[in-house]
Amino acid sequence: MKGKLFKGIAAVGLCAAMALGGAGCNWTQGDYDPDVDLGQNDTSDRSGWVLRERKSADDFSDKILNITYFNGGYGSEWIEEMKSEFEKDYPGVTVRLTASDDINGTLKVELENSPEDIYISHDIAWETLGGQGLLADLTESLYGAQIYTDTKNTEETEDDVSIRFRDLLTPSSLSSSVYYGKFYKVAQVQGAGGIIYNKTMFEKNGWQVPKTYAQLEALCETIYQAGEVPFLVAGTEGYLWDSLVYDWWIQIAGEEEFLRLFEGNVKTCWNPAVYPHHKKAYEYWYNLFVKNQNKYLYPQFEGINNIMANQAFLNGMAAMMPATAWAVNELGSEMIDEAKIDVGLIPTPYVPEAKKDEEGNFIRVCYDVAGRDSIVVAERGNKDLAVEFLKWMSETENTLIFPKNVSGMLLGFKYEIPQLLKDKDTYCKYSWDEDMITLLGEAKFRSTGYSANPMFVQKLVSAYPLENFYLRCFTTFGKPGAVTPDSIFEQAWNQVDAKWSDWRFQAGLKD
Amino acid sequence: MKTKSEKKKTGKKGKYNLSKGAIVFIVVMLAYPVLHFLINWLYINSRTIFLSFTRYNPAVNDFQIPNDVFYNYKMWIERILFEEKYRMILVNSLLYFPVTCFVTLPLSIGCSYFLYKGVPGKNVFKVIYFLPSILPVVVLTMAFRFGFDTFGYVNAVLKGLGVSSPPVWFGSDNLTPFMIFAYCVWAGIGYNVILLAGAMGRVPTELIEYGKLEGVGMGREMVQIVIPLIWPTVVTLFTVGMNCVLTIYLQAYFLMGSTTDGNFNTGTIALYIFGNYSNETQIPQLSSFGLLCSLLYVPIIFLARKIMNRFFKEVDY
Repeated sequence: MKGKLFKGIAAVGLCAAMALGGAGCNWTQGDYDPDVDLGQNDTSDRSGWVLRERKSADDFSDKILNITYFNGGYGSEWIEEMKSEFEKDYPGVTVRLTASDDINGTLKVELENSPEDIYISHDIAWETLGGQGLLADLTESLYGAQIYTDTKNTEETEDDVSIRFRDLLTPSSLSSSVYYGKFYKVAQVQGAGGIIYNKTMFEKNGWQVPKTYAQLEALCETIYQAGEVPFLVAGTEGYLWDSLVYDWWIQIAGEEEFLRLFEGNVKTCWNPAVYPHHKKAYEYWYNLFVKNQNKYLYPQFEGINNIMANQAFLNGMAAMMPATAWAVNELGSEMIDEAKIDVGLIPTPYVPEAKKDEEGNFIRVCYDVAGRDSIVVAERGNKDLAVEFLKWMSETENTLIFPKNVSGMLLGFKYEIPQLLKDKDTYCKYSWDEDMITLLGEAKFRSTGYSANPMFVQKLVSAYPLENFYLRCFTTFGKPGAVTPDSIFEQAWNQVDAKWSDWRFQAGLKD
Repeated sequence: MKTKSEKKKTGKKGKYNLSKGAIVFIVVMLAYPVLHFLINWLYINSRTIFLSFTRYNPAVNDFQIPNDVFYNYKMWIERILFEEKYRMILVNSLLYFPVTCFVTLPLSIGCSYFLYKGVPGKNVFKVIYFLPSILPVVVLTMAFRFGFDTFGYVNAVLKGLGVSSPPVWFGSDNLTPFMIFAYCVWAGIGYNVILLAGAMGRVPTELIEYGKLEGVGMGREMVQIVIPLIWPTVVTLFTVGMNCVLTIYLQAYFLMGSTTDGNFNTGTIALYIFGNYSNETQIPQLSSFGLLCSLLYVPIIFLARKIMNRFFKEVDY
């Protein structure tokens, strides 16, 4: 009797789960089309631009805008200044800010129930949340919205040109915000990776900033011979090496080939025999850092955590660290000031095979880990006011609030770089800031390595289908069964080759 | 046979002879636990089971059952068999079983026994043992990690003692997992000691005194008198310790710098699930991983409990 009762309850439970789960039983193959129109109007010359007529508080039935932002990384000064400027420009509107340490953990539940209006955080699963109708589709309301009118007549057109929100974003910000043809997010920031260096230490020792890989090798040896430590990196932060390896990969492969892998349509992109450039970049890293770890890296760096590594760097215990765009913000301006040092950015030195322009100069490219920071609008929130805020944010003078408060970082919009560099007192507190802004201005191609291909979104595949193995290379070097570029890329290709059809199927893609 | 008037007098009490008020009381009191059971246990578990057979299909933005219903389970078996990363996660998780049950627990029993025997300064020791249990895990892990960092005081002391190249405690594929285990032992003893000391405090003094008169030494007293009498508590702690295999993650997470990558062979089953759960597309895979591990491991827990219960007969005192 008891057994029957239990079985009955279990059966009811399962049925309820199936019913409430709403999951279908037939696998649907989708029609994912990666060819989305990402065209932009020319914004290189801002003369003759006329700002749109802004809405006023009276145009909004709900005059309160609630913004939740990630409490970390870029601090809160920039968003607080934006709040006060926005309230000044829209009298009668109130912006309420909430700092949160963990937005993603509860985001879906909040979006389903009583959400805030705007969320700003890293790693928001905006593709799935957008697809489920929980995030506002910004394609027309924001991306298609006119922000300026270009009134200068050019040779091509006699009419005024509409400068839309989408035209004001950098190409990489635009391409990393679209999924299945719809824009669900705004890329929050742009930055670049590279090497952070102790400029004070460099100047004291007369060391020159390397421009090529050979110069970087020579510099490491010089620093080592001088009894100092060239590099330091926390053992917990292996991903920082992406800044160098990806840059070298893009330098060698070029924009088109690099993007081909992230389009996810050609599996041979992972075959090092056909596309050898990722492996080549990895080898450059391996040869310099893994093989010379006893000379060029801080002894026992694997056992240092991030906080201690940053402190050791500030104390001058190493000259350089691989860095992402937020390196200086992570070091903390108070700490840098206290250490009485200046820090700068070394753009990833050119490897010999790096592509050159028509004049024979190396083409500057940059990879940016910071591309995972997003601004999203809740579908059930105060959408109209949220979209108005984002439009306001894209206006030239308002985009400047961010770099004024955050070292060496820019929002995902296009900036007039010479203008920023001219006003160094406002935008360049450290040499790092100036170096970063210069790099972003010089870069002919910038990528966040984002792919909207469902196989990538579902984490079925990535640039390293198994893992990046950076730390394993260090810990296994010189031992039997050592992890090497050969073994990494061979295993990765075997995995991709064997799983490709299955992954496409699982991602809902037609084979 | 009761007449109508008799039935009216006693009211409708049914076969359990309960009054209306009593029925209302029982229903009200049972409503919360029953609802709790239905939602938080039955629904969640049955949904987890169901989701484990699905995949997230981006084409429809929803979960669907693929043609191969057991796709997720096959995928995990394949991963565990052929991919080192996942194999290490499983091996590393399983190692928490001996660490918790055969290192932490015996040490806890030993410590508890000495406290029970009233060693000098036992109250101070009680505080020392229990202190790690009342501090937040994030503080405790930080304190532990800083000590063993490359720049930490442990290496400084070792260098002071003439060790020119001390180990890389938290940056070595071989040593680092054992550092996490060491932390778990250090931080885990206090909680066990409190429970075991409480159980030992209930052991009848007459038995201990009788043993003394018979010339029983401390070792024999602990093994042959005290442990059998507190055996139910030991079995409970053993079973809870076995559960660590499936549940432990915060220790490795904080000690390795808040990463869920499981660097240096520190990944665990729960850490992997924790590190990926916020991405909804991963939920079916994570559900199947959790269920597969539970399916394989829970019978072992029951078996161990059954075997443990056979060692000593439970006695009332």
